[in-house]
Amino acid sequence: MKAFWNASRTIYPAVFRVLIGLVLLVDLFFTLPALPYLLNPEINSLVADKGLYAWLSENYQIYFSIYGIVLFLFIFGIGKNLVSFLVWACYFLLFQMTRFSSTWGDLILHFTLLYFVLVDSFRFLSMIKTKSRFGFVSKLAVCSVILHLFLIYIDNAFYKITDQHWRQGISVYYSFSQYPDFKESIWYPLVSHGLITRFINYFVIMQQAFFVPLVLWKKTRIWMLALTAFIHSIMFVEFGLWKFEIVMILLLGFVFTDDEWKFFLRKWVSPTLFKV
Amino acid sequence: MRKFATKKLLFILFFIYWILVYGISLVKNMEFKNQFREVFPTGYRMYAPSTTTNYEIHFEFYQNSTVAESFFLSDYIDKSYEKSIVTNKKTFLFDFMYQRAVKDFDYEYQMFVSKTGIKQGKIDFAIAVEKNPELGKKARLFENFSKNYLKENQELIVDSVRISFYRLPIVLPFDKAFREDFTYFAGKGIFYETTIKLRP
Repeated sequence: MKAFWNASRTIYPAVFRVLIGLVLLVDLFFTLPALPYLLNPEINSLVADKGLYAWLSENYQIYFSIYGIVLFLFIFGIGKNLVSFLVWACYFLLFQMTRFSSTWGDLILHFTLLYFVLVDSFRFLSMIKTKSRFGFVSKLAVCSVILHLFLIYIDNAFYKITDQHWRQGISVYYSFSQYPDFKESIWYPLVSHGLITRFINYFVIMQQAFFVPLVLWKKTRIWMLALTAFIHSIMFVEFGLWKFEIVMILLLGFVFTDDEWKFFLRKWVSPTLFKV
Repeated sequence: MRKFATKKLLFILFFIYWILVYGISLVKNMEFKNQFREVFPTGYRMYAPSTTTNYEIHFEFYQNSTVAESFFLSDYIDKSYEKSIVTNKKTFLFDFMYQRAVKDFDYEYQMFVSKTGIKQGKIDFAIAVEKNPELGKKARLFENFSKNYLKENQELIVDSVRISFYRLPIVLPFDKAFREDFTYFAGKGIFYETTIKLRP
């Protein structure tokens, strides 16, 4: 347990910075055509009608241009923690402005980016690299991202166990059948079968309930993370919440230590890439 | 020495913060939790299913009391998805908002049925909005959709639109007799309806 928290995690923050930056940039690119409708009070009655968020909604071109520039700086590692802060600030404003269409993924990302502000992710994959030691604050911030990830699974397991439909084993069917074309999906024969759907239902509860202990235990870590990533991939395809699922999969990477990342990447990446 | 003390203080603050976050996340009282939601994560109850009911929204446009056009919103959404991948996000966001809004109307409807024991059906939007002003904004979402639809289809000459919300409790194929949820008692069919004049 102590070894898990004390382990060095300096490589993945840089990878995460680049990947999450790209996810946000792609999301921004696809959100742009929606903005004239989404932030137009004549079409969307849920847009803020006064205060800062109303002003931002009216002048969204300025705001989104700044957000786009900040994301480029973030991906290329220019501006260090100040740019990380600006990414969080832009995302926070966007989250508040579009609360009516925000999902759990947005909330998770909002807090992840908040903790990530204090992480030194500029040691690698950065145009202006940090050369000093990985600071204590940075270490605590990485631990915060992991604790936040653990919180997500603990909470979900807790609430699933206390929920009537999850206890009855029928939640998985309800979840899938909310989505159009479910009856044509390859999952329909499995999820509509009484025994199989109950098995999947209880399996998901177990996976979430045992996520933390099995991730902390080194021998089971990779299998638990692979299983979790697989479940998120299925939800990505079936439920279409692509940003949420990618964010969750990317967050799993924080659990691995530098030594584990070096071992995974040894065949594809030059060992000098991750040397300070 | 001072550096060590600073580290210790930082660690204590970090530890207290996370004890609070984990503690509060397990509290069930949402009002209490909402006070802290901007400062730290107050829990993730994102367990699907978010509903045991499917919904349909039907628009019926009239010209001189004759139906000029009618469609289900889900068909409109499906067609929008086919247009272009670039506009998919717009379609997704609006679909998400409509679904969320109709669930809020259904919540009001279920509360009504729960209190009165009467499955009234076809409650007018105005009555729901009167009881819960927050629903007013959500009702306008559908009114605006109708107006925007006319802008998109300018050849359509109509004077009014009737909007109907349908609720369809999900039937479990492996247990068709399953009724252990209030949604089955609340029933199937139209639960809210309104007619809006589009031209004076």
